[in-house]
Amino acid sequence: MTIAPRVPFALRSLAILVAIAAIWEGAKALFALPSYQLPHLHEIALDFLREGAGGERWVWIMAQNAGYTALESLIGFALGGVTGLVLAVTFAQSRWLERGLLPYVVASQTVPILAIAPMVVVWLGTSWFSKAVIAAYLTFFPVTVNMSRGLRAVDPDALALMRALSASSRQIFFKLRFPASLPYLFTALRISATASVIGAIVGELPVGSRFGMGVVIVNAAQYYNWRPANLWAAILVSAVIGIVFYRAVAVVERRVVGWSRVVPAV
Amino acid sequence: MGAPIIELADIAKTFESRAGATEALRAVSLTVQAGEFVSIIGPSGCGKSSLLRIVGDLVEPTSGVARVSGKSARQARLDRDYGIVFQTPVLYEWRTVLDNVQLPLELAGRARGEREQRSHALLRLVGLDEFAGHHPWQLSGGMQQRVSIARALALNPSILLMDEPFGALDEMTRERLNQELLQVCAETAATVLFVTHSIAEAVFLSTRIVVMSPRPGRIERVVTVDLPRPRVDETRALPRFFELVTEVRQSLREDPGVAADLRPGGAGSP
Repeated sequence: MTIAPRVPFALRSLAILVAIAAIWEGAKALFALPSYQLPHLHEIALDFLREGAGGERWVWIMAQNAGYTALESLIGFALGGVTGLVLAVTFAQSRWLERGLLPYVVASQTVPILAIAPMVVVWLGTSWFSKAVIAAYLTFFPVTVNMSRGLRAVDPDALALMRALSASSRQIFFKLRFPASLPYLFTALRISATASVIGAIVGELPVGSRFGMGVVIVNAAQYYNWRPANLWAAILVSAVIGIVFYRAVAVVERRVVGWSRVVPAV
Repeated sequence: MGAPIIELADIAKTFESRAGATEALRAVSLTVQAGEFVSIIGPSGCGKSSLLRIVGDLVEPTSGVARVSGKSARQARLDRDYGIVFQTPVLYEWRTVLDNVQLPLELAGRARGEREQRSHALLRLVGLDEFAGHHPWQLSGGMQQRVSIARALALNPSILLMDEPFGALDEMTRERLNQELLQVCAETAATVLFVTHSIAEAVFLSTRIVVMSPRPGRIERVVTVDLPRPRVDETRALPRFFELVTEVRQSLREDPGVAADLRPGGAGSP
């Protein structure tokens, strides 16, 4: 139950945007930052309208690459989500397997993704698939950790009720453990949503990739001294993909676990 | 009174943990006849909840035998012979009120049409049919507990196990639900085993009250409640009501070291 906002959402968002812009331009003026350190906001905005080498405007170039990255992220997100779920259910069923496998699952996340990405690209090729796999690599872990916790965190009396009703273990899983852990799953999916985008972009960095925001970022970084605004624009677009993913999960979450009192407001 | 429906013979329960062993129950024997309303009352930690859960085969006794409906407690559970109500309503929050009441019918594989018809009837019985489509958190604590009672009755069990079902409610709600519970019991003819720590509640509801000693829980005394039926609000004003309340209160205060059987009207007398 939230108190009805007095100021409309759009107006509040706009106010925050204006404040950020003011701080940005204020800092630039105050510390006399040159554009290669911090470009003007309008320079970034105008970069989208500039024509690229092929004669297309950057808005269109960014949109195409963003779409490509988003698709890779989405496939990776789905792949990682399912993998994470399968691992969580396996761990919840068997302490023995959890004890055996968890160290490797944790180790997988301590290795920098930047070190692994080139190897995955070498193994699986430079197509979208290798990028999706790298995205999945970052996605599955939060799902595994949170979901296995959720599957275990069932109220003992809720379990006693199932036992009293002589429910089968299948029924206990599908009618109690799984629905009860959905809020945990969605908390993980929020984290995974942004992580999958990062995974896809990192997967696009190695030599040989031709599409995606990772490629745009690498190129923009090479020409940073000439046109710094281009890299900032690429960062902005990448961030937007992440935000869209996060919001999409939040929307689905509201629909699926609207019954839960622990669902965050956003 | 009918045939024995719950028979506990020499039940003992010791919980083992890293901190050591805790003896919760010692040598508890009790027979409940069909149609009875038996309350178990005692100080916190006296094992009264454990005793109820042993009857429901949710906890295994360390020794002794529990027989329910003439079978082992385990078989009675597998046959879904009893309905259970916990101290908290234990409603699944992703299910609507109706779907919560339906749960036992669903697990038992009943057809959808029958499930819904029966669940609506049960909600009418506890006066909550208009809330069928609500989610549990939209209901007050007392209403939630009524839903949980409706759910316990879903498979028309011959036994109701109730573990301090009204313990978390305020006095007024509790008294109203006591009244409603007796009406429900009269309609369903269920035998009730009822754990409580409210003396007045136990006297108002029961045919017999089992008074337990502090840990390790033993049966201190069994008080037969000879108040007229049906029990109504005026029952609470009868002199006999106060006498019984006093009797139970005194039993609770008595030295737990004294063997219950040595006192007149002690354990063993129906």
